Amino acid sequence: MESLDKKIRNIWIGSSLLVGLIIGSVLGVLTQATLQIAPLTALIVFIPPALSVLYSVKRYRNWFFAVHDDHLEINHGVVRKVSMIVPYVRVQHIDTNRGPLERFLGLASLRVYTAGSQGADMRIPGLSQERAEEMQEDLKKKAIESEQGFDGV
Amino acid sequence: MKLSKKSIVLNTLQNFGAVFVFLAFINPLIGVVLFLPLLVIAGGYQYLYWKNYNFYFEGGDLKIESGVITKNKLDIPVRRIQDIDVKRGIFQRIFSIAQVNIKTAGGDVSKASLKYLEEDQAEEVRQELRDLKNRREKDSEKDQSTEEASEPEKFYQIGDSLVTYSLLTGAPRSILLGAFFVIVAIGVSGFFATSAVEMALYSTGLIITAVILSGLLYIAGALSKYIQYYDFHVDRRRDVFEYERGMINKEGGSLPEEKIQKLEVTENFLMRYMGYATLKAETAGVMDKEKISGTSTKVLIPLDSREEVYRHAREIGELEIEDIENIGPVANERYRRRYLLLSTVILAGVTALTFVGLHPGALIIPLAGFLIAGKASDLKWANIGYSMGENNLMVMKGFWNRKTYAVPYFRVQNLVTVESIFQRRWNLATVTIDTAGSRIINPQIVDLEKEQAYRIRDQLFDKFNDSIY
Repeated sequence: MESLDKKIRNIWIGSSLLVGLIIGSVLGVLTQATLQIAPLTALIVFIPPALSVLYSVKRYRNWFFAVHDDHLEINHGVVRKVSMIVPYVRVQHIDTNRGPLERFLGLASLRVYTAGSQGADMRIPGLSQERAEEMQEDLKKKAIESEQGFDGV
Repeated sequence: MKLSKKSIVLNTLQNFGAVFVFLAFINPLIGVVLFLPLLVIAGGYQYLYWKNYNFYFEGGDLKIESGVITKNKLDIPVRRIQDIDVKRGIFQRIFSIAQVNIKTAGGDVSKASLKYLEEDQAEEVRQELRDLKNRREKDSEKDQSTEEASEPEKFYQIGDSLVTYSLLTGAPRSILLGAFFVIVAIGVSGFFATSAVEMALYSTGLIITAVILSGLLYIAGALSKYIQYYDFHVDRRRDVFEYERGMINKEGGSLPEEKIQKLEVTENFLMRYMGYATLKAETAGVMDKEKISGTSTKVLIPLDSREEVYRHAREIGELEIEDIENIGPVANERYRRRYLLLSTVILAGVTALTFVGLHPGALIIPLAGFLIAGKASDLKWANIGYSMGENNLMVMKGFWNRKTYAVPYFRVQNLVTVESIFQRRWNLATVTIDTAGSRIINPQIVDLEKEQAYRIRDQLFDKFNDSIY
């Protein structure tokens, strides 16, 4: 089993911390304005960012995948746990994607497409750029090798 | 080949008919004056469209050239065609023409929509597709006589079952709707009643109204099914199913057996009670990109005895129909708790409302909920199951409208196991078997015990591997 690049964990923690802080401050202001109990306000300001950091850490820890001989396995989810098996025979195409932030950090995400209707979800975020490109090549080769005249439908 | 010349007229009228009615409605004179030049322009465009539209079969491909200003050339390998629709609405029938939609997996159907062909031309296209398929098979396996094989063989004819089908198919929905109306009726009576007598009187009156209303809707629905499935018949030509149905609008199509992704046996609770079932087949053909519900599910047998339906299912997919195994008993407990919880929430809500004027008689709704929770969960649970045969998986689900899917292992696209937050409390998981097509709802084995879910998922993957290599 392979984990995602550590950098993506920091991005997740950072961005969720930001959202958590905003929510926390809004709730804090509301609590202070209505109840005026300072310790309670402090607690309420603290809870959302703490929870979101915890969530992001858990999210990263639960995200792993494996390139097996005949299939790709993807596992993720904190609240809703998802585990997927994608046989290489069924892979239609693979693309890698790099947003501005990902490019800055040298990250990429990989997306695998099959003819199945749930295929839209099969995305591996937060791979190092080299690993993403290597996997794209590898999976492509495996998909072609396993095909043997099937049209994947 | 060219489209029918009549399509120039019909397409023009279809595109501009509404405009004409609108203009004529505002002012008949202006309407006509404005409309005539418009009609000429539109007609001219349609003529050019017709003139530029050309389709032909060449080397195993269907080629379609079209476009007045932008030229399009569409090239569809015949072996990639999933299925064909042949539609004849009332106007098309008057003109004796037909619309032929050619569906590929993941394709955009509007581009491969032949609007319109002469009826005998449509038949020719179907024939061409049959022949091409047969010829390809002949090349590959040195096949026998194609001529006698192309003679149609009667597969199904609805006949007298039409009435039964029309009456049975919409019944569960009407009963559920009726039950909903009754609940609303009791609630509404509770708001207006000030005494027990009034409560009884109002609710009786409103319940009768609710029953009559849902009865009328039921009859309307049944009538519409009757018209839709009038004269439904399926012929089998070698391994292509060809069907047609309809009293006013005729809908038909060709469905090659080898393109069937999965079979679906639908039995609502009344049909089960009477021993009937419906057989449907699904291909990966895309109906409409925009519509999520767009799926190429074709009814092969609207209504027949359960045994007959299963016999055909077995024959078509070489499927084994095995005894369905139930999921673990934990799920049953989960459903019971869920219904009890729901009833409690409703009880709390209704009780709160009695303090602001709702008559306590309305409490009958949540109380009934408590009474039937156990029975309801038993029924829900007993109708969920699966079985893993040699070549295919069977998955069953639903009490009101029970659907049993038969999925050959080699059709599996990917396997997804999900543990939702509610399932995790009970240590349950759902396995989704994803097959090709635009369908959003895939066969699922729901609420399996977690370890079993992962075990089944791995077994399915092994069986998939065995089936494909």
